Parts: sequence; C-alpha cells; structure tokens
Amino acid sequence: MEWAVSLDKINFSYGDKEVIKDLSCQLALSNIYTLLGENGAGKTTLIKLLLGRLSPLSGQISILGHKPGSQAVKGCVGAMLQVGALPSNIRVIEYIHLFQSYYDSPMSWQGALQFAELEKQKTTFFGQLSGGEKQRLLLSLALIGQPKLVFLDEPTLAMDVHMRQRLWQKVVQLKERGTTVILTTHNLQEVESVTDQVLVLRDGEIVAQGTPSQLKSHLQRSELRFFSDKSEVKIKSLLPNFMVHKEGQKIYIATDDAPKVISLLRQHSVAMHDLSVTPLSLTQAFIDITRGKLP
Amino acid sequence: MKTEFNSLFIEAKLDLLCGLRTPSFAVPTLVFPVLLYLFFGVFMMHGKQQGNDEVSIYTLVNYLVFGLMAPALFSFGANVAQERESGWLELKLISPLPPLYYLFAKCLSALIFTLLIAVLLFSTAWLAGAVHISLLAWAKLLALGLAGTFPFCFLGLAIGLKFSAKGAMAITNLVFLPMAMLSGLWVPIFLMPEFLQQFAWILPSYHLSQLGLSIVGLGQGYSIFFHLIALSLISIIFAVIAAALYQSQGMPVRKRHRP
Repeated sequence: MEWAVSLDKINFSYGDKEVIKDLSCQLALSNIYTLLGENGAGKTTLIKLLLGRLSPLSGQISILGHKPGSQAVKGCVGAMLQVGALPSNIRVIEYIHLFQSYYDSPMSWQGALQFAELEKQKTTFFGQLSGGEKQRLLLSLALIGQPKLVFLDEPTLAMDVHMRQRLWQKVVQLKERGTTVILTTHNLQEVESVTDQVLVLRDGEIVAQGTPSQLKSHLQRSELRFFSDKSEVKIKSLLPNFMVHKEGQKIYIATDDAPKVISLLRQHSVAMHDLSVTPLSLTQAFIDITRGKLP
Repeated sequence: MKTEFNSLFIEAKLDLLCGLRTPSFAVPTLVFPVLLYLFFGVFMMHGKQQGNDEVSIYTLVNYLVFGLMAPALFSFGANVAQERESGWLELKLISPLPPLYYLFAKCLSALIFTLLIAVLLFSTAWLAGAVHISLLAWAKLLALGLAGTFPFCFLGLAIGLKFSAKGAMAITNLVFLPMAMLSGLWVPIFLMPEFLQQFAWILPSYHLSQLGLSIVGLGQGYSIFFHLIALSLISIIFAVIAAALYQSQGMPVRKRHRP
C-alpha cells in the first residue's frame, strides 16, 4: 500500500533539546489529518521534517514513496505556511503566474483566482489585500500545482466565519479529488466535522491518534454546563477532583460520571439553572490528552 | 527545463518590479549616481579648462561603481533578510523552483539595475559631461560594471542570510557607505590619510574602480591583472561565505546520531 506519509522511528533535536522522539506513523492517501499539540509540542518541526526543510537525526521518512524535499516530492506537494508577509508591491495575478511557472501541470490562473475568490482583486497589490484575502491567496498558491499532498498551517487565520465555512468545504473537496491534507489549527470545533484522523502530539511524541469521535469516546467523558449562583471557587472546593471552569456566568465541569456530579452538587444545595450534559468536545478531549489524562 | 527558465524569468521580473515599484529604493538607486556625477563631474568642472575631460571620466567611472553597489547590496542584504524572516524564502525553498534560481533571479535583477544605471550615467556623461571615449571603451565599462556587480551580490547575500531584517539594513548601510568612501569613489584615495588608504586593498569597489579607470587610461599604475586577481579572490571569499550560509538555511542542525 502506498502511503502519503510514512514515518519510522524519527528523532530530531535542536542542540540538546529533543523535539521529536521515536515518532512512527503512516498516513493514508485521500484523507484529512489534523495535527494537534500545544505550543512547543513539535508540530512545526514535524512539518519541516515532512517538507524536507529539516533532516531527521535518525529514522526514515517517506513522502508519496520518495525522500522529503526531493524534486519528485516538491512537484506534488503544496504548503500553506504561516507567512508574515509577501512582498507588498506584487499583484495577486503576478503571484499566481509565478507559482504556476513552478509546476508542470498547474491550475489555470482563472481557476486559481476563482478558488481564492479573488477575481475582483486580480490586479491588487498584496499589501492592499485584507488579512482573509491574503490567506486565500496563500491557500491558492499552495494548491496551484494540484498537489497530491498539501500542508495547511492555520489556514483559517484572519478569515471571517463565512469564509471559514467555505474553506472547509474546499478542503473536503480536495480530499474527494484524492488529495491528502495535513493541517494544524487551534480551532478544533471547526475541523471536527471535516477531519478523518487527529494526531495529538505532546513533547515530540504522538500520544493519541484516531477519529474525533474515537478520541472523545476513549475518554468517555461529558461536560456539564449550567448557570449557578455559587462561585467557581466554591464549586471547585466541592469537586476537588474535577475540571471546573467558569466562562461568564456559566460553569463547565468535565466528568466521566455526570449523574454522580449532579447528585453531589444537589446534596450541597447548589442551584443549577439551564443544566445540560453534552458529550465532550474535541477541544476538551485535546486539553485532557495534552495534559496527560490519557484514556 | 523550459518551465524552470520561465520560473527564473518571472522571478527576476518580479524582483525587478518590486524594486522599481518601491520609490524609496528605486529613486535613490537610479538618480543619486547621476546627480552626484552631474555635481562633481560636470558642474564643479564648469569653466575649468585643464584636465576637464579627465576629471569627468574619472568621476564617471567611480560613480558607475558606486551606483552598481547599491542595488546588489540592498537587493540581497536587506531583501533576502526580510524574505527569510517573513517566510517568503521558505515558500520558495519548498516549491519545485531549484533553490539556486532564487539567487540567480536576484542577480539578474541586480544586473538589470546596473544596466539602467550605466545607461543613465553614460548618457549624462556623453551629453552633459562631454565625455567622448571610444565605443569599445564604453562597451568595456559596461561589461566591467555588469561583471563587477557579482561580488556585491555575494556580499549582500552573506549579510542577508546572517542578520535579521533590521540588522541587515543597518549592516548594509554600514558596509556600503564606508566602502564607497574608502575605495576612493567620492574623494580620490591619494587625498586620504595614509592609514585609511590601506583599507582599499581589501575592498572590491576599489579594485573595480581601478579596473574601470585602467580601461579609460586613468589607472594608478598597478597592473590590470593585479586588480583582476584581487577582485576575483575577494569575490570567491564572499561567494564561499554566502554559499555556506545559504546551505545552512536548509539544515540548521548538523546531522548527528543519538547516543
């Protein structure tokens, strides 16, 4: 079976600091993968290793059956990285023509503009685009070579809600066309519905991998939400072994035994208005996993 | 191959456009050498009979060297540092564009700037400075100017790869202005204190200007080969440093085995 990405016992260090530790995994073709991890977990380093910008100290990496960074790979991989700024006095269409010239069978310039929804900004200088428009152009440049594998690093940054929705639709379309997508994001709610697999990195290791629902079900936790007249401190003192936090006037409690928590709070006469028990969100699963509360 | 050359052409075109569309860069780069030449090589000589032509030609050669230094140093020094820091260089390096094409394109762009500066300076010298040298001498000066752009490209690249964007701008200025001064491009070198004159030996701009002056018969007595060898050596040193730094961009940590 050909894998989009195959990692075999990869190790990488910056000086004496180990950033990636014995990391192994295989990512299948035509899937959407989300890399999750707190800052410093090794996500950026891993992406740089996959793009061939760094070489592992030991272990093997294969991208679409080739060595990362080789010319064979570069022609069929696209990447949307977090770029501070492109030269501001180059026009949108000029960037598109430039990136078209890199590939043997690129998307047409009309197609690229349409994909980025920048037809009206065709002759606009990069410096005059809005944050969202810049992101869309970068996405379009990443996809202009019609890659088999694409890396999207925080693709929805600076995009409005409608644009985000359309972007995720486009990501799903990419998958349907056979493209493998590897993305990083901090907005887990958004990717929950589009991603096939989530890989959670902690200290350079994959500590959890699975579909969003698998990750959540492994934790078998749910979240209680209610309004209360009691303070967060008071509730925490009643439930010392639970994760309690308050946002606005609403109390959130993560638990694997919701009836027990409700009963306990009632025993202590804690009024719970608009009480709801919802399955654990991917965000909460991620927090639990990265803080060491593994299933 | 056709696609790669097309990429190189578009890269160079955009780099050139980027420079030309930045008035704070393009105007001083193209206009200053001409203005300085007009002032020192034409107006200051107005009314003086003796040695008029020689001073005008001498000034022309020196301002050609001064003019070509700026686009090469700044296009590489400050711009590469900025593009490296912003991630733009990273996007190029992960694309199928051969890594050296990014540098070739910048060199091409610097060469075109040199060509524009030379055309402006030569026209001004011919029309306002009454400089009349043989067609072959004009051609040799132009060729020298184009070839002489490379050492400054290498030096600029080394600065751009070594320092941050802000640092590279400051360092480039720190290199550019003293280098022009100590090479005798503004004030003839023999008018400087003797200890300052010694710096000229290690400066590419000095050897380049001496080669130019030799073409028009105003060299200071050292052989053309001496300056050629010196300029080549300095260029090779800059190129090796730049190549090592460029290589290091793709491999920040040396490969080592785990204990």
